[in-house]
Amino acid sequence: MNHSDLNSLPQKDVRFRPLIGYRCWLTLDGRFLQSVIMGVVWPPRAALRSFEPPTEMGQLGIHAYSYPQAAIEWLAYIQKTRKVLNDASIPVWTHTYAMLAGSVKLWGVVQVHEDGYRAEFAYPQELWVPHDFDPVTILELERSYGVHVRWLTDDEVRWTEGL
Amino acid sequence: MIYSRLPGETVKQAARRNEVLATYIGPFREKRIIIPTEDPVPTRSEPKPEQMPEERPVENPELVPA
Repeated sequence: MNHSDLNSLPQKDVRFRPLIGYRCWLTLDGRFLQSVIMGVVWPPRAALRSFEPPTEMGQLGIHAYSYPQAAIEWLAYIQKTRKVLNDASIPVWTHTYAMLAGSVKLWGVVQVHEDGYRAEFAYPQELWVPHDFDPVTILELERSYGVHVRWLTDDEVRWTEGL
Repeated sequence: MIYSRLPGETVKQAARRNEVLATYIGPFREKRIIIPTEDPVPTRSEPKPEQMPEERPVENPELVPA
């Protein structure tokens, strides 16, 4: 990370522990994570960097929710309705895909919103998969990204009911 | 307002996609700068060697079959 731009900022604005956000992904080729809307492939063992540091205005930055329920509800919403993926304005990035949710570490310049973040850098912290997820893909994701992959808990599955 | 446009995307399509992005994390609140003291990306761990049984000294070599 290039910290030169950050050195002039007041010390009170600088934190040292990554923020934790929550989001969902598509899987690509059974071993990569891909953003649902932007189609960006998340590099294994390397930080994903935003095209430019996110500014207060605009939508640049790596998006994530600030609480896990929102990410899981979004996952279920897209899986059940496929509204976003079937929308003519949203490219369908892969013909065959599986979806999963999880937590991400966020750092660099981070714009904090009411329900989430837009960050300059991100890397997955833990991945959560639905109960019908392919076990081989779980192993491939763990090996690729070096993070723990677990099944959604019963409580998390309950969050998706009624959507 | 269009914030980003993907290759091959029409203005209307980009506007719709950005509308989705804009609404789902809510209104802006504050800006933070985070410089982690440790690398948040896990390093690639070396493959673990096969666990070999410990080699034990032979007490009486004459009793060991060749």
